[in-house]
Amino acid sequence: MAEHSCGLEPSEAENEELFSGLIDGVLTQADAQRMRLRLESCQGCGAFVEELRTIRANAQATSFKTPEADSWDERPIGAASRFLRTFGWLLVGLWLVINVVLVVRMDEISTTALRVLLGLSFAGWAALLLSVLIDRLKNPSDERYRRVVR
Amino acid sequence: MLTILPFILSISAHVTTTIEKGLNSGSIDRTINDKETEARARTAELVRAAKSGSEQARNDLAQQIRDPAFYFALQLLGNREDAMDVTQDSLMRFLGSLDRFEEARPVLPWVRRIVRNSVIDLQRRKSVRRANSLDSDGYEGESLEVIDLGSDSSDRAVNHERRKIVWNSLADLPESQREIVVLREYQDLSYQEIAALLEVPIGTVMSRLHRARIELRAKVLNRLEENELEGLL
Repeated sequence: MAEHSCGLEPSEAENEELFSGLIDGVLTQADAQRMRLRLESCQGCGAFVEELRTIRANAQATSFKTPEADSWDERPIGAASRFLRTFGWLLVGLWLVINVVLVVRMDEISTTALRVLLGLSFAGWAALLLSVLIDRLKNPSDERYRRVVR
Repeated sequence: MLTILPFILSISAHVTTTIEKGLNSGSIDRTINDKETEARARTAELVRAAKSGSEQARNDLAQQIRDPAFYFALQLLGNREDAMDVTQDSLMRFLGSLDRFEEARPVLPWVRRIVRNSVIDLQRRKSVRRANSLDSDGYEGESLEVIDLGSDSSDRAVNHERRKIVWNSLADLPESQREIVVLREYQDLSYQEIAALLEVPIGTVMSRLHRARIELRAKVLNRLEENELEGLL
């Protein structure tokens, strides 16, 4: 790492944000000139600014994958629908596990427990149905963003 | 007289070339400005039509802003699934509040504000801290692409690695610092635009951004050291 011959780390300098101002080209002519002189005389400061510039350039050159168009259509709309969908799937998952347990240990399970488990499974399916219903009500046509409630 | 003639001619040629270059760059600037004005006018027209009840215009408007909204949400959250949820909520809010929007205003700053509010809501709801929600392995592979600046495949690999490290280092920043870095470095907003969005003075933007940059640089250098890639920056 290059030495700061000016004796100051950039984070310790009095007007440290001038470094960023220089990178972004927003300094007054006088400040820009002052910073340029500092960078010329201090190798460490010059290297520091160069690193910040490299980070900025890399951030700007980063692009992100766009989701597939279909993946938007499959998503629940709104927090309520999303919650019900997640909750519903959890209960349905639980229901599947329970079914397996029921088959394996049929003799050991009481009627009350069986009713509770059955109720949970129904609640799971109901939550899923409600979630879909909410989406349908919010978006009755086949287009995703049509007829939003004003 | 004859001896200075070539000199005069070369100067006049240089002056002509400079003027032509100036005129050309001026015309390029004009073309870009014209295109921006055209695009803004088209969007304003869409907003007008959507406000007056055109389904097609609402659809077109939603399609137009979905990707920028998604990228911004992804940059703030670092999580693809959450970003898609936020994008969807933001689009619903955007279309739902169209009546209050003046069509002459640019749409994107408004969309950014809605997305930011949705992100804050989501973070409150789920108490999600990006540092917790970000599993860098799953995250970088899925959502990050690299614009190929180098023709050489080794250049490409180095560029990719560098961008990945910068991107993943963002996750290590506190929320407020991450936000300002995203706004300036990834969204490329001006100080004025950032100040307007965050509702803080420009001086605050400048100092906050600088502190965030110093912090990000430290995180990037740490990651480079951990991965034994010290010379990469």
